[in-house]
Amino acid sequence: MNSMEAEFARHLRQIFEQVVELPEEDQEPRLQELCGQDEEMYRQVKTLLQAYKQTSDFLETPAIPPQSPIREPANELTIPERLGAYRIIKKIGQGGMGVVFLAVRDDEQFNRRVAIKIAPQAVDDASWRERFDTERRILASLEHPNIARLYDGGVSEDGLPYLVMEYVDGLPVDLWCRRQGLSLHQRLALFIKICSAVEYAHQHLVVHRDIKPGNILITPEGEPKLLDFGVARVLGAGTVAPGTAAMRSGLLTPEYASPEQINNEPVTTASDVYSLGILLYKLLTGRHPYQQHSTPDKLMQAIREKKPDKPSVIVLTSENQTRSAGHTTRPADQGTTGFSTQPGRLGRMLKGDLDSIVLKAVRKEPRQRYETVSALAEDIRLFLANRPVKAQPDTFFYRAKKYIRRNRGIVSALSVAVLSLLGGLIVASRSAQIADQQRAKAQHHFESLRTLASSFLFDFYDEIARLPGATHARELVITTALQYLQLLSEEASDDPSIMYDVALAYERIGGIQSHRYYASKGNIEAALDSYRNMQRILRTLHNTHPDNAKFIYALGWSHQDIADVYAQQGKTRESYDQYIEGMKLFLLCDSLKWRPEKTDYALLVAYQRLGDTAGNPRFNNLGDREKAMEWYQKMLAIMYKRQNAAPENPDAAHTISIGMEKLADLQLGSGDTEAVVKLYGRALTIRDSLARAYPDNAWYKRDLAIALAKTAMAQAQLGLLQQSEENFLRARAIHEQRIQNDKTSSSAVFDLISVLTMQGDTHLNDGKPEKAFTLYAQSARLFTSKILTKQTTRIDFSPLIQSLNKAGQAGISSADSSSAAKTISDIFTQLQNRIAGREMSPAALNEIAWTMLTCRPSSARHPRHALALSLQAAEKSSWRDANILDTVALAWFENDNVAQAVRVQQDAIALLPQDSKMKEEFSTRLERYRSALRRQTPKNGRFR
Amino acid sequence: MHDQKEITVLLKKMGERDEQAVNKLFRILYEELRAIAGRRMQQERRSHTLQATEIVHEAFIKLISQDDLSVMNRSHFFSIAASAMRQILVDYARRRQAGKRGGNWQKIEFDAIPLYDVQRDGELLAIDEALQRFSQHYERQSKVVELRYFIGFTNEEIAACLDLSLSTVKRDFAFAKAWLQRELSGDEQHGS
Repeated sequence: MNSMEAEFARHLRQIFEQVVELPEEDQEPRLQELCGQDEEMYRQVKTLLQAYKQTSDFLETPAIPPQSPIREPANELTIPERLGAYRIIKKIGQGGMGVVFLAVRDDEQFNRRVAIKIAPQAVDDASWRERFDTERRILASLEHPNIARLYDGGVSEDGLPYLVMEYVDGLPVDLWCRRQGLSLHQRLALFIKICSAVEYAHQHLVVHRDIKPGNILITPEGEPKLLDFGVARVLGAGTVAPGTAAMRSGLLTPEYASPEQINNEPVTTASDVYSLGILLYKLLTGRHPYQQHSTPDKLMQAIREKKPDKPSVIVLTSENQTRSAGHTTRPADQGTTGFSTQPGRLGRMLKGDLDSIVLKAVRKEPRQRYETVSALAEDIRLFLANRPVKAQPDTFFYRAKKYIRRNRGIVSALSVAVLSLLGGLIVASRSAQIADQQRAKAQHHFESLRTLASSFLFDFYDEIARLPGATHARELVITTALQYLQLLSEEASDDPSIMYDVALAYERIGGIQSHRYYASKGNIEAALDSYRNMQRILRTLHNTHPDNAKFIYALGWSHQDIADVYAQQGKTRESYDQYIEGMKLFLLCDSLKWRPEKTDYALLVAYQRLGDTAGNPRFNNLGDREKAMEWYQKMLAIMYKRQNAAPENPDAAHTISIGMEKLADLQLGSGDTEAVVKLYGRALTIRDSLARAYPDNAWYKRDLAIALAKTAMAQAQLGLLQQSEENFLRARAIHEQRIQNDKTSSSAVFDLISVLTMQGDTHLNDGKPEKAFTLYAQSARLFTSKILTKQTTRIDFSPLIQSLNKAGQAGISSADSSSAAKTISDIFTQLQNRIAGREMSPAALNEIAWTMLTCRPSSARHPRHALALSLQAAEKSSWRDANILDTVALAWFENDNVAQAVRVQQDAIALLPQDSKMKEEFSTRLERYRSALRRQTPKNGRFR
Repeated sequence: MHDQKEITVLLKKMGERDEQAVNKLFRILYEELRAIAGRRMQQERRSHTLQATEIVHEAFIKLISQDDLSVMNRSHFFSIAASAMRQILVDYARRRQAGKRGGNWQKIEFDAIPLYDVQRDGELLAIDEALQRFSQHYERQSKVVELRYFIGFTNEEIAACLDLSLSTVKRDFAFAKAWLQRELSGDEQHGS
């Protein structure tokens, strides 16, 4: 630091401190006196003094401010001077939801105008704060050009909750339409925009609940902005119930409220559809459908009971042209449409399509309205495009599916919206069931609910499964789905066909939970729960309907599913027993001659899994190769049977080639390499001819390459190195071609990585570590350069880990092990760069960190990177995963923080289950850290 | 616990202006505070009582051996803790801002991180940067700001921690406010 600068800085502070304490009028002369000729000093202090005047509460609130306690409600709302960081300028409105102020955030650099809405009364319910904060956060996440942003919120000095929102300067939509004299088409276009905003919110699980012209302002640029999304719920929670005194007293206007809101029934997205329908009615006709009902009580009665007139009819009544009718005092709600069009012509334009669109949106029963806001908007678009509007109600799924394909990113949210719709239906059906005469109707509810539920889980599942990222949303979908299934199974415990659907839904959920991409330990256990629920239901069904083959078949699959989970958990014996149970049930189906093609397939799968589990060395197995052979023979018998039934079906041939491979796998363990090569060769021949016969079928190409690689492996073991190498190269060429053809897909890259690794293995076994090293390193680099550069978020890192470990293994045996270490170290660095900023699962972070800590040669290790990664992993898993803590401990240790290592390792051990096999290994490491610590802490207390 | 001893030693070395000790202490505190904040988030997500001051005090109780409460070590500890907390908040804010560019879903996840008011990320980062420049000439004053803004100490606590008189703390803070305000409003290039 320059000493003159430092001197100047010190001087500057001293002068400032002397001057700032003076009364304002004395400051200037004193400043001039102190600065003398030093003009720079004068200017600096002057600007500081000016800045100081603007500071007010700048820096006064800590970054994490202490919470202000909720106080007793004040009887009357006094206008506060400020709220949090905002200075109140004036009151701009008042309504049932409280008072609205214009305010400004007056830190100079964050100057912006906001609207602050304060609730009419305080709530001291203990759980309320939590809900307020949660809702506020959800609302704050709504970012849409046509939705006024929610910035902030809190509790005022008087204990009143408030929300800080984007300030919108605009006109209510109905007034705007009239003033601008918008044409019918312009109005509809504007309405579609409004719909898109509502739809967006629904996808984020937010229902507006209070859609009305006063909440839809149009900016001078003609852009609609929706205000107060979900605010009714946040600010009104626990204070204002619809249909109560608040409404009758006029605090809350019910004009746009749906019948279910008036009746104090659950509010769903369907309520917003209704309010939008009334809004559309108003925009098209200039009138509210129940305008003539002048008192709130009469109005509410009309909303409950009266069918509105067709818009095309109402515009023709002379009353509308002359009288500014209405019970309300807002000028926006009065008078005519503002159309330049003649009423007669307008009537003709509205007649038909628009009449039915509006009336469908405002049906009394939520389920008879448009299912979603986008369905409403879509119909208007169709009308505008002069295409027939979708009258039939069943087009929802068709549209939703298309929607999923168009909007991958938000589809999980869509599914949640579908589920929230389900919720409405369930509750509606429950209350409906109470009334005897409505039984039939309730049954109808159930039917639609079932269709919706099964469509959601069955048709949308595959789309959701392919979604990148969005773990949170997926979990939300699953949790919500489980809740509804629970409800549904309680509701319909006496209806076998519904219970059957519920069982299959549980199976789907279990499938999602145990899917390899989300297969965390917790999720796998949850999957087991789902499968057990499935099994429990099916067992009950089977007991009451012992001859129903469909139930037996499904029960069989429940055993298979549970067996799969056990296999995933490494419980081989339990898994095997379950497969046996499943197989027995399928055989029972077979004896009942129920749908032979389905039963055959199920049996085929069961035999295959039994063979795998009994003795296939590629799986966790019980070591019984002979038993495995028996199962595989049964499997092959079915495969041939299927092929004979459909000789021209290429898939049947393909399945047989898989059977051959399985047999070959078995022989691998026997050491009969010749038999292995022969069996792989037969699989290869089948695949080769399939690939030739169907040159456009990418899957057959891929399968051929896989067979080539496996054959090559076996050939290498037989010493047929020349042939082995040729087959490897053929396999590689196929995968490389696939990568060329489809640059977006990762699967070809993964396949190529796997071939390179296998090829490396053969060279390593052949005593050529250098060649092997090159191949392993190539496969690891392929991973970092081709996989980690893709946008996909769910990546299986195990091939990379495997390549790196193997490269290390080959590296230490190779002639130039130090350059091998350098290569691996470089790959680590590249890896570290590529994963920075990526959303990674704790498990993946942990695996990488562990490899960085333990790989060989030891000079290739990256303990510093490993520490950072393992800490990330630990944080993401909330420090509750023993394996991750084990890594963290080792990382601390390798970074010379032995004390931390000891501590974390202790935590890791504490987290292990009682009977864990890892206990010994963990404890050994702890002992190692402890002894290092003892060495490090000599008696004189000095640290190294 | 060994850690407590280690930290006592580090604090002592810090008093002897041992840069390495400061760095090591910073690293330990950084991890410790984060861990505490993370755990508290788990336990107390519902009650929203997460406060920087509490976190720092919890770390203090955990890491400082109770028979060594010398004023010197105390003040060194909190001073480093403030820097560590500052770093944590800045890291969180940066991550959240990165998350915002990454799209909505990530954002939701980041919003769950315990900062009370995510709207203040920009402010926090701007203050952090300005504070870096400020500290070039005004080390003590910027420490005052750090203790005040990043771990929410009161003037009295700051005075005790830095062993200053209350009026000095107030004066320092006033000057810092003026300087940082000027810096952030950008109507004046910083001359010194």
